Amino acid sequence: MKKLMLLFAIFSILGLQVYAQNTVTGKVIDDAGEALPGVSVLVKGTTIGTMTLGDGTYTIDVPDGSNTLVFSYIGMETQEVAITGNVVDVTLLQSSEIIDEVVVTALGITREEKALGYTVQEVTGDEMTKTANTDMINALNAKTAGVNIVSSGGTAGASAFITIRGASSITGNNQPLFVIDGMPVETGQSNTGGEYATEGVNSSSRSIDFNTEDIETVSVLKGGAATALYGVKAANGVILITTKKGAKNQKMQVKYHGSATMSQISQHIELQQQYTQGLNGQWASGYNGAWGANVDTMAYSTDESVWTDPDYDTKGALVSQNDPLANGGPAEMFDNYSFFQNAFSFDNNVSIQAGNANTSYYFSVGNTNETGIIPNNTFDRTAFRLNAQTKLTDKITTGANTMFAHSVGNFIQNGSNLAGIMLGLTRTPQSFDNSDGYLFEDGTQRTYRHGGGYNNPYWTSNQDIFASKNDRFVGNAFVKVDFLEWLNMSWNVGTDWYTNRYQNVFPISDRQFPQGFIEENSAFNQSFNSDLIFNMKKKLTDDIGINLILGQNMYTTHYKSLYGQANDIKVPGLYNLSNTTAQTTSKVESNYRTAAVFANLDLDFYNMLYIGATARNEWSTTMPEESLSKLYPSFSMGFVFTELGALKGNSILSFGKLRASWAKTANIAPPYYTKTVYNATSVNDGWTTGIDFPFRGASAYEVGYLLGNSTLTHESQVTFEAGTELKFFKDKVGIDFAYFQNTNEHLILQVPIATSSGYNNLAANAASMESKGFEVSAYATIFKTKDFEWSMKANFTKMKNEVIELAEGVDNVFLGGFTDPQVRAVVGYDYGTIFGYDWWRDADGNVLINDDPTDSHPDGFPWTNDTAQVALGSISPDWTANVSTNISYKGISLYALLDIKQGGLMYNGTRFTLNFFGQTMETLNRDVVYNPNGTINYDLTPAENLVVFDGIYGHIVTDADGNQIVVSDGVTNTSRVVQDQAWFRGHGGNFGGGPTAAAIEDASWVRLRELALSYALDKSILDNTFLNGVEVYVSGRNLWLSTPYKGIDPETSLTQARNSQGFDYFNNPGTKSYTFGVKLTF
Amino acid sequence: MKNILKFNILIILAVALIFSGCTKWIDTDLNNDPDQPTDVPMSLLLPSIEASSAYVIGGNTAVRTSNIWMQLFDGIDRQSLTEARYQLNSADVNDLWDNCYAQSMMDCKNLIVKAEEKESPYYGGIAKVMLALNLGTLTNFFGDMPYTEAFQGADANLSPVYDTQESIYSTIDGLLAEAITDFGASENAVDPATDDIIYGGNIAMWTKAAYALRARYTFYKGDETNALSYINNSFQGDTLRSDNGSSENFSLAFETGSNQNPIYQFMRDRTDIRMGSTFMNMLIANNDPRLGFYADSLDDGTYVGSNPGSENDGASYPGTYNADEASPVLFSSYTEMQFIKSECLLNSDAAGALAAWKAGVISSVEFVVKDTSITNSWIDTNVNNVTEGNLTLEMIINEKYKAMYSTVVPYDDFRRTGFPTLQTVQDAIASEVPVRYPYPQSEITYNSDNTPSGVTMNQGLWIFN
Repeated sequence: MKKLMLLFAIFSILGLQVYAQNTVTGKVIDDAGEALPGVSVLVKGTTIGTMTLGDGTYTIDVPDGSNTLVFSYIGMETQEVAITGNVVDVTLLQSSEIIDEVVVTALGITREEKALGYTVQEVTGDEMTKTANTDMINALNAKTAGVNIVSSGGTAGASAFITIRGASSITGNNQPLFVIDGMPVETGQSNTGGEYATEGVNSSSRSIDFNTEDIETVSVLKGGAATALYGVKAANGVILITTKKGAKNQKMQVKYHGSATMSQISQHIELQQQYTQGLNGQWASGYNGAWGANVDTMAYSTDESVWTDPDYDTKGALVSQNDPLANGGPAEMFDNYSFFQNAFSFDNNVSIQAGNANTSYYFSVGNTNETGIIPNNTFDRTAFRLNAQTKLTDKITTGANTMFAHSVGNFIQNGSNLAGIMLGLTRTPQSFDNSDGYLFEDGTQRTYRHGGGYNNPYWTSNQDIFASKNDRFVGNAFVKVDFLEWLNMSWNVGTDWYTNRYQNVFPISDRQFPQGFIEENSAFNQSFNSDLIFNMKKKLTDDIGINLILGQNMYTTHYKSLYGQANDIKVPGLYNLSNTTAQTTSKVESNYRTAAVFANLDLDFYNMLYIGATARNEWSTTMPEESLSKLYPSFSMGFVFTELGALKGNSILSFGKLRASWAKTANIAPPYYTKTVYNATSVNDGWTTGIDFPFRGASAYEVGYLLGNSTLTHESQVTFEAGTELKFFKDKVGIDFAYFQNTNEHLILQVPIATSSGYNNLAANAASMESKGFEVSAYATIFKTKDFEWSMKANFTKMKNEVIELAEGVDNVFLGGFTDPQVRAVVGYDYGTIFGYDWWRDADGNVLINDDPTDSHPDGFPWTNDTAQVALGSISPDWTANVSTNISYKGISLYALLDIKQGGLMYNGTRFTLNFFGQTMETLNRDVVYNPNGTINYDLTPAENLVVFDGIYGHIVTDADGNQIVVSDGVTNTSRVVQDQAWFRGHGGNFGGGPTAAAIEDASWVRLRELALSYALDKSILDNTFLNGVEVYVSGRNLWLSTPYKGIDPETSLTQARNSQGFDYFNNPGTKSYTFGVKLTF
Repeated sequence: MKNILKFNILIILAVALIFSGCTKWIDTDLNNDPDQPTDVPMSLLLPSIEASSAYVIGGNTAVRTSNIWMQLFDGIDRQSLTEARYQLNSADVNDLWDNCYAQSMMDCKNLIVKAEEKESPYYGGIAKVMLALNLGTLTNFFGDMPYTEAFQGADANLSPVYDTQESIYSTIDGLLAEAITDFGASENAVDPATDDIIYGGNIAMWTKAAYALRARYTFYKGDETNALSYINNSFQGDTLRSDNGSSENFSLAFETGSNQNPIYQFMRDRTDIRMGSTFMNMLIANNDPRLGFYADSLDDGTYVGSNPGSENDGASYPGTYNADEASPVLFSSYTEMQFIKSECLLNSDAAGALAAWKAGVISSVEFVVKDTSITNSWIDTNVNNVTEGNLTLEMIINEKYKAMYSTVVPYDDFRRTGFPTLQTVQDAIASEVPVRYPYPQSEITYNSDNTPSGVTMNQGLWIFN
């Protein structure tokens, strides 16, 4: 209703826009005769103006007394044309200057792209809103080169993880700095409520607070030379966002964009529908797996003698169909996945922009209301933005950019968590009907394990509540003074605030916390930033120019959270911390400041050679006293060789540039790494919830786990980048190639140390990493006429991110995961290599197939070597690519974005664990007939159930020193065996001691990430209406996915927005979605 | 031009303002964590040591794993099943080792230093007893381990050398001797009180506990004479104890609601162990009154142990004795002392050995059951009927096994004596019970130069050879 009122108000305002005037129409074309859209048309001497449409036409109301129109367009000469009738057609000519594409670079400085000695890739707001994405990080996915984005799950409001050109930190933050209108903003993930990275809920990244609709352009600054002016906060690259602003002399324009999206569960692991709950081929009520009877042979019985658990087995006990007690019809299998629902989300945005000669503004309000595919998973965000600027005098401009967003969400438990949705859902044998009630009258839970095991998924989604609220304000104010034509100054100060509160509730009888559990967290984050910049720009001669920037930056950030946790709920259903027998509370605070002075010098010669240098000196409170300050330089060079006489005006190669840059930047320690402190004690043995103080009336502290280090120095990052940019056929085709090499040294981390030293970790400059690779971006306008245009864009990235060195005595650093497997950083391996146990193999890597009848391993099968965890491969892809194409004919436009990821492994712990429970399709071929002597009867056993493992015969003997030695003659295995219950509950499954190696899968994919078809109404139809533009579209996201991965959509991360990607352990599934939307311009 | 001048002045003022604040702006005091103290009083360190020692030494990888191997429990699902089949890898024992070194023992070392500074030998003595307890527990699982160079991270020694088990044993004895001296000090500046959640600051009790541990470890070394004298100075036989608070037993009870006993928490969260059949069959055969406290009965009122490795999830759960929310973790007791005494005297003083054996069994039964109307008749028919000539080592160890259920002691005794006789484990990966734990992955990885390599779980430890 509120939204309707708002719309009504806007329409009312529109109604007041009445003029006394004549209407002039016309069309603007270029010298090639092609229509020019987006040309600004202004009635001279007034603020009345409009833009040409896609076909170059315009309509403008000219007040009495005015007689001249001004036509202007970037790269074209501005023309003033006298109004001689009701039709004014114009041909705009290219300005004598080359058409220069401008891009936004560090500190928001707009520069000609050709002058840059480093890569800056731009994505427009339009490209980001082709399909529905609530989080702007997801909207950037697959639109650039060198940027890796993992949206961590298909739930409403879920986090997203982004890195640029690989990791530059081992255990610290690897996500880039986001700068919006000059203000650095926080985009990391909020608290997930889980004790470990592998459980809890998938809460939002704080990037979700920003409305993607407000974005004008995004500049991705990748290398050190591009980001050097941002200092220590920019070690992982910068995503520079410019929001929409009203233009000067712009007639008020009101836009409405509304869309409705339906999402569905996408790829998921198929569960077998043949065998019931039970063991050894017998149905067993309450049993943990599906190793029971073949459902086709079973029937229900409600006879009291067998129906012992009617609350759980609601339709009856299962008995053989020819059992005289069978009285309830044949046994059924249910579909666990019927739990998921179609999710709907609605997005409504209204924006107003306008401007006169001195003042312009942009105002928007947007609401996104999402539900998830999991019942009760919701996310709702309302965001406001007001950007305004005004010219106080000829010399002074001032303005402000502000946003406020309020969001609420309910998130669902996921992952390695007894309450996780997928844990209970996929482990339930499908002869048990989870949907037939999850809650008994006494408040206890109905689960297939008869109250034990894991949560019924319906219980989790209905009873476990993680309610999160977030309020965000980001605002900056600036003043810009043009002292002289060549000298200006700007001062931009801003602040970023948010408060994030959540309540996380597990009612009594929850499997994760059987006595009930409550968490309350209230976090407050605030930062302040000031940039004072003097910009001097002068032509020294006609052909030589200089641009000197001097600046000063100050930044402070403050985080504080108050946390309370309580166990053992007293009055059921009342979720107040004090309604419990025990509570613990904590406070976490984090503060630091930086200050910097910086300079940037750019020289340009003959529009051909561009040389740049920067220097920044930065002080930080997180460093030890003796290394507070650090100076770091960068250099870049661009050479436009098509300006050389011989090449100038070449009809094929219209533009060519070589570029190179080098930068040495620095990064600082996180707060509080310089001293060893005491920590409040908490005892945890890795299995249970443990002990939190106060305990038995006492409070306690212990020697801190982290050994502080007062000799830390800055991390150093040397980046080298070289590339070329070529454009052909009057810029219709272009290709950009960049090679980069980043060397990160003295990386600061909490180095794990032998606990016999008395500490768990040491803060130290302890690692070096290198990432190198190349990126190719290309575009082509394949076909272009007045009405028809077909264009393509493509990006390709190949990169290697290797750990070069770790501190002495540290062979590896744990990044995340379980005790087995783990993702680690290990010298000589890719950053993010999965380690775990493998099969026993011979020296050549052949899997051993046991041939020793005297040992405890079954003959004819491989078995696990659990003597040491070994490298099983890298989670990083070999390469990634994306291709988008846009075809438009008149107002109709079709857009498609294909996303390709080649290589990169993932731990499919879900599948491997479900083997143990007899739930996967691979456990179907389990029937086997034995001879009286216990050997397999090959004649009576179904042929499809007989398998021969790849490998060679062999076994292990232990020598006198206790060493285990492989004994094998290298003979290829030919033994036929059956993968039955014993196998999958043994080394063929996760809990039976099977090796992680058997759960590692290729997570490559090709996906149609986005597809959109839109239709813009011809302007002529709207002539006599209050509408200026109407566009309708349908779009889809992830509509098609091809992957060898045998689980959910492999774009997933158990550990969410953390460095240890590559884990799928009962993660919530991904989605595909369809959107219908309308864009109206008034 | 005038305007420009005005604004120039404004800007200069603004710049001056910013820079004048700069020295204050980079205030290094901001890098002091407002939430973590750089120093704390002794009274805040002691509860940490006591709670972490109890939770870890009485919990998962110490008690649960070793009691599965001793067939007191059986692991029937997931990781516990793997352990029941004698599969225990280096990563599985990380938590046990890391908690003892970086938490309990490091805090003991820290408290010993502080106690000396503050001239408070009582705190120092308690810390030494707890340190000896941790060392003794760990070395009986791992053998050689770091001590002389351990806990020196702050002095930049991150890879301490390993001391032999023999040297660890003399360290333990030395610490306990010092502790006994500390407890006899005439002056003590700061007295432990309610922060001592084991004995409430009762130094006489701590002295007995120190003697008890000294007796245990001296006895393991084969020094029966000294062991007997330490036993005499340790716990006395007030056998009917209602709870930890009034007991001489060296133990720590847990809480209800949260902060519960580790075995309780494991059964609540994981439920993967049941009672072992070897243990249950012994109790059932003898109609032992402790049965209903050691184990939960099934719905039909009977008790069933799971045959080792048989995955029998229908077997009995652990009972109120060790798996209730507030059940205490037992470090040492009068009962344990009597069994050691009995073993010391077995070959030299048959009457003394029998008397001690009886005191051991009776004190255990009475402590567990707490109702003499039930225990007396059982004691008459099962304990008092044993005569001097009949007592054997196996009887001593079997009774000690029943009494020291849910502690690390049965595993020590089994490796010393081979009793009780265990069953073959179904689907085990080894034919023999492992006689030690593997070194933890954290040491293999981060202290690779010093951690003994090529150690297998069937290599016996010095102390038990």
